[in-house]
Amino acid sequence: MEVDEADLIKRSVAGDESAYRRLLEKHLPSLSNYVMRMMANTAEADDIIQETFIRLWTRGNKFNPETARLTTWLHNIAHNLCIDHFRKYNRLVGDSVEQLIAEASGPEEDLIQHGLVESIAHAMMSLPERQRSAIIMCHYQGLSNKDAAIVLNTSVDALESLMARGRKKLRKLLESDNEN
Amino acid sequence: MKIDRFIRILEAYGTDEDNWPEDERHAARQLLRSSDECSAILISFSALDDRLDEYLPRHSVVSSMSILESLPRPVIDRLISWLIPGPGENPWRPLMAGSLPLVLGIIIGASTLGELFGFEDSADNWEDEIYLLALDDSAYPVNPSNE
Repeated sequence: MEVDEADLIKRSVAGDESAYRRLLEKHLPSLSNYVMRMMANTAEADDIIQETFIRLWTRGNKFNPETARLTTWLHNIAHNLCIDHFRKYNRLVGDSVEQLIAEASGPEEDLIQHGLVESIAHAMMSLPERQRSAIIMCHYQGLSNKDAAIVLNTSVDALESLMARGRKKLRKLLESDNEN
Repeated sequence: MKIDRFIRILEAYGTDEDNWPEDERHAARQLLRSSDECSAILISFSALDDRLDEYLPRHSVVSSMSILESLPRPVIDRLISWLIPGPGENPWRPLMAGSLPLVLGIIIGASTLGELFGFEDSADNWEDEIYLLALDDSAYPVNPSNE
């Protein structure tokens, strides 16, 4: 399967749109989930998803299948775009979380469920970006620790430290939220 | 595997065995099956994973089609894809492209037919008429004293 994907990338780089489309359809759902969990603002997340896949088309020749899987390379692009965005706009996360919660929950939803979504969304967005990204990749995205370390340009040991600190902070935030 | 490492794995990766490091997963599972203490520790960590599972991603409006349409392409490719859209999309475009030679033919034909059959431009005829009227004496009032 990986050999097929390498072939698709070659064809895509050469301008074969049908090969590109197959790669796109395979990786878009997963990448969308990653970016949507990383970003609080939906419109900005959509821009990053779009830009990630445009780079697959325009800069696919930079991908080396011998050093990483395509999903790792795409996660790396998306992660860097998210970090660039955070640096560029230096946003106050709290404001965006309110939008995230409003978008995630409909008015008909159970209020208790709404409260749970609100607290976990707040807690996740309170984490530093690298801790959040590490947890999202290993818990939700199914990336191995080695792949996640490549995305974050760090070692597996450092990745484990990031995740352990992130999870510890999440536990504290959610516990204090429950007490309130 | 020692219990310290098992705890470290739970702290970093959580309680879902599929998320544990591949090269240590088997040893961690064996330790978990053989130790009640490890089972108790795992249960104490499971609450956070349950909460994490509530954090669902929002829906993105970005689709394969919208990305394909936004790809930078050479001008000729963009022109062709504009003229020949997908089935059921903008059928007027190929019709318009097909009728373009017909419209051009009519314009060229109208201009060359006039020359072939001696039709002159009506605007030119009017200008000539006015010029001839201006040369004609009868166009001016006659002064009886000069006669």
